[in-house]
Amino acid sequence: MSKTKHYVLILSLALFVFCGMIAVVNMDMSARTYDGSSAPAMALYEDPSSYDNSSADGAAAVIVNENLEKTASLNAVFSVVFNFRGYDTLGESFILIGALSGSMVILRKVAKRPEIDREEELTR
Amino acid sequence: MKKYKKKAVIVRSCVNVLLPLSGIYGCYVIFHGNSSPGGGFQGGVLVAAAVLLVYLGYGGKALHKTFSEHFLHSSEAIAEIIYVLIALLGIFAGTVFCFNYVFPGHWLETSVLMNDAVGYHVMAGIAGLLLLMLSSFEEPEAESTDKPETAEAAGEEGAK
Repeated sequence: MSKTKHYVLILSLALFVFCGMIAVVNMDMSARTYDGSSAPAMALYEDPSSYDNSSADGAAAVIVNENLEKTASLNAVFSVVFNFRGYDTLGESFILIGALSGSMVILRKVAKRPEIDREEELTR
Repeated sequence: MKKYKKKAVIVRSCVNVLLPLSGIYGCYVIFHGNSSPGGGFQGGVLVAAAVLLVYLGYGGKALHKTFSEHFLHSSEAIAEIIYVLIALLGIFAGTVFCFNYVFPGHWLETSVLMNDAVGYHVMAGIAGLLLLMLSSFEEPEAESTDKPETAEAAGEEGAK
């Protein structure tokens, strides 16, 4: 029984790794998205308003060009944090809940419990 | 005033000046999160600094009189529920989670309300965390008077 479990686990992990490798190869073969390698960095630093993002595609183009139409938000950066990445912010606040409950377990003043004889309980 | 310790007058008067400032500045950072650097997390932590200030100026007794731990924990959960409900309104409207459905383009849009909910949540969470940590400083007096024998026994066991 345990041997079959073992084999199933190995097989599923191998399948997982195989799918991941296929995805990596596919990503490598497909066309590159915009990475800004052709943009002159020093000129952009001196004159940010000259930035030309017409050649961008994919998620970068959506975030830069169509942000305000897609979210009807007033501020592009704020809409990235709370509209595009709303799940991320939700998870961050759940991390805070986790941290609080963890420190509650350690630091909370425990109410006085009746003393239990551990050995007696074990031998029972 | 007379109930609390009288010695640290300088610290207490500094705290009296800084307490309203920290509250107001934190609320400013939360409510202007949509158009300025900062936001819910940062402003919430700034407001929660009030717990530390009260502890510095007035001591642990006043801390437990001013802040209710139970209220802070429950308001944390309430803020999280508000966040999820506001974000879910987009799904009920037929689009996606976190969609700008409530007052789009207005200064009181969905993401601003979500930002306020995060600010409330972080404010309550960090304040509760600080309250927990500070309350662990001053417990041994009350418990040692009740059961000195068990404390000694525990110390002996630890030494062995």
